[in-house]
Amino acid sequence: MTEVLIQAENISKKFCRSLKKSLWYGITDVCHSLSPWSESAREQQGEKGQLREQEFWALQDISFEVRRGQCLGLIGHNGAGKSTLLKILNGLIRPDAGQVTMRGRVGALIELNAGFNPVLTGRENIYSQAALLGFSRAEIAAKYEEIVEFSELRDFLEMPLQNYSSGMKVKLGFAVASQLEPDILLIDEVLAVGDLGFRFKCLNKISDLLKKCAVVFVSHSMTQVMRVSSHIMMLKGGREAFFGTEVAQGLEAYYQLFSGGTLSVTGNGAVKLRALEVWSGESRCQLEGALQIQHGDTVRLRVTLQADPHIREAVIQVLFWNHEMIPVLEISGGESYGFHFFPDGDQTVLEVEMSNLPLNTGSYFASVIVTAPGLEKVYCQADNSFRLTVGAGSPVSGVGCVCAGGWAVL
Amino acid sequence: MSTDQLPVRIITPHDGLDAFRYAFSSLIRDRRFTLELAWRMFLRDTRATVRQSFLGYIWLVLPALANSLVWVFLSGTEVVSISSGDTPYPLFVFVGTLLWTAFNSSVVASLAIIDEARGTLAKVNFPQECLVLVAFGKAFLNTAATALCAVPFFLLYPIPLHWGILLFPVGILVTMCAGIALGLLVVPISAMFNDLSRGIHLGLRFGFFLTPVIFPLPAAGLGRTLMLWNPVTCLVVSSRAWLLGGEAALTAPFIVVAVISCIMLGVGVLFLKVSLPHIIERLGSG
Repeated sequence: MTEVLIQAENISKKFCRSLKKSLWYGITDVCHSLSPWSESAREQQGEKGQLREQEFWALQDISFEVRRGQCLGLIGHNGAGKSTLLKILNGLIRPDAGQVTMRGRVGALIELNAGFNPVLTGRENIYSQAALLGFSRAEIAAKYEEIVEFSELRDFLEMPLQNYSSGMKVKLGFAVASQLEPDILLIDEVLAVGDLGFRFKCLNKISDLLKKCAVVFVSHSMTQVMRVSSHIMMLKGGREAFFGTEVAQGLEAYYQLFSGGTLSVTGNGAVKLRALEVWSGESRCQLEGALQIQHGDTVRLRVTLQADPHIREAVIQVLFWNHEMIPVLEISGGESYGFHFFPDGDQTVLEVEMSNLPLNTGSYFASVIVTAPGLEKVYCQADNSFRLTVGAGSPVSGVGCVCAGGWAVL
Repeated sequence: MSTDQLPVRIITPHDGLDAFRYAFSSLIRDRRFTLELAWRMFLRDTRATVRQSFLGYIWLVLPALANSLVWVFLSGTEVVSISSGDTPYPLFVFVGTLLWTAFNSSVVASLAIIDEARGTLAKVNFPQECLVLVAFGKAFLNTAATALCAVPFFLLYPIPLHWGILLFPVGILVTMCAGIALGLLVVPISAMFNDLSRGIHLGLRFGFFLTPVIFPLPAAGLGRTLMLWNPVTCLVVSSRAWLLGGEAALTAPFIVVAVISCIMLGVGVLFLKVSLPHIIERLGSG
């Protein structure tokens, strides 16, 4: 077993909803902490454990440990307390109860461009940023070339930072921050920065660091969490709602938080979705419902449409979106896109069999889209029309679709 | 590296003595890094301000120059008449203004440390005490620029060289310490409610007239009593006396104020360290 680098024991933190009250409590706390007679934890526990007016627990009773080489993925809805926890680990704010022990140099990939000065050139900013992050003079000198190389901004080093695009600023920030050689690494949603090429570079750099550090990783991108985390902690309203090494289970718990959006219908209304039914074996659901299936099951969908009389021909498509609102699967009609049909009178009933659905473990939202044959007009787009919850796929990779290949040893 | 060699940081909710002990030990531990970082930040801020104007460094000098010229003019045209004894009045007023600038810019710089670094404080963990050094540097730069425009005055009105002149830089330094310390003691509170810092900014304007900057210390009367209660008086009067002669240096009060200022400066830095986590928590990234 490698050594424990981060050890958090029963951390709690309270925040205040009203600004004036918050500032006032702040002053009381400051005065309290400045009095050398004000006593330390034990006696205070009583008082500190109480909520004052307008306060709430932003974090309550959080414990975990992270060893070198491990990565804790921290997930949860907005405002669940992830960033607060990261701030406590980073030593910026202190908990109201509990204790954190951090062993080793801490590196934070959090706000990459805090500390940048817009008027100064890129080169000057590299120096001041590196100093801010804790590089010694010798280290800066030694790593300067590498930073410039990594940032891909050599031609712009003498330009003031305010003329950089936001992507370039982040590149520069990441180039500096990633040269730290930390024992503990705190990462908050910065993986997806810059253009495509740079993103890959970031990910590679981070996976290098992952091996050597204890990492706490905050993200809303479940694909990334899946990719790097060895443990998952899900926070819900400041409390630990899931903690464990079963990453897939953690993600499932996360998805449960957002059990569903509501149906949203757009388009010019020339075609209306009257009814919808989905079923697979015994289980079935209607519009806005959810269907539980296993990977590879066959699902049937029946939609009832009402088209305006002038619509002679239309195309219907079904799209599945994952939680990150990335489309992962399209059901076509055997032609290039969708299924061509000729609406007929009042009601057109269409049925489609989706056999051996390749969707991976997770939840998917379906859109039913009816367009003109050339796609030049959208008659009806029903997003979130139903939800599929898929079990028994291949959770490790975190990809949207899995299909079995015909492997052979030659 | 094995676990025992790694630096260990324990983050607790502890207040009071524990917090002070921790603040003190990190001040000692981070001292080298603090110096380097302070230097970088000072360079960064100075370059940034200078680069955004055509006149650049000249702006550092202009306010002090204008201020003393006004008083030279007023006294020259005898709108107000101030006697500065044997010392030529322009020289007298210039040295006074220089000392006041040292005090004033120190207070202003140290009052601003949290506001100016808000974004960085809320997001990056660095030895925050370096902000005090940066404030010191900024105040020093201001003072030095003012001193630079004193040169022509000294060419016009040469002063006899004597050993007392060597005490003058000490006077400036103590005056700056006093200013920084005053700001530091207030800043933990004023970072949250800015009433206090506004009050101090206002007070500095009155303070200018409650300190013998542009006139000598009155020989008697209410003015004298009031001014003697003002701790900055002895700093200004003594330093000026050491440089120019002509006034009686208030040496004993100077020493008392100097000692208290230095102690308060140390206490102020510790206060800042201890209270910053609370302040950061309340300020957010603003």
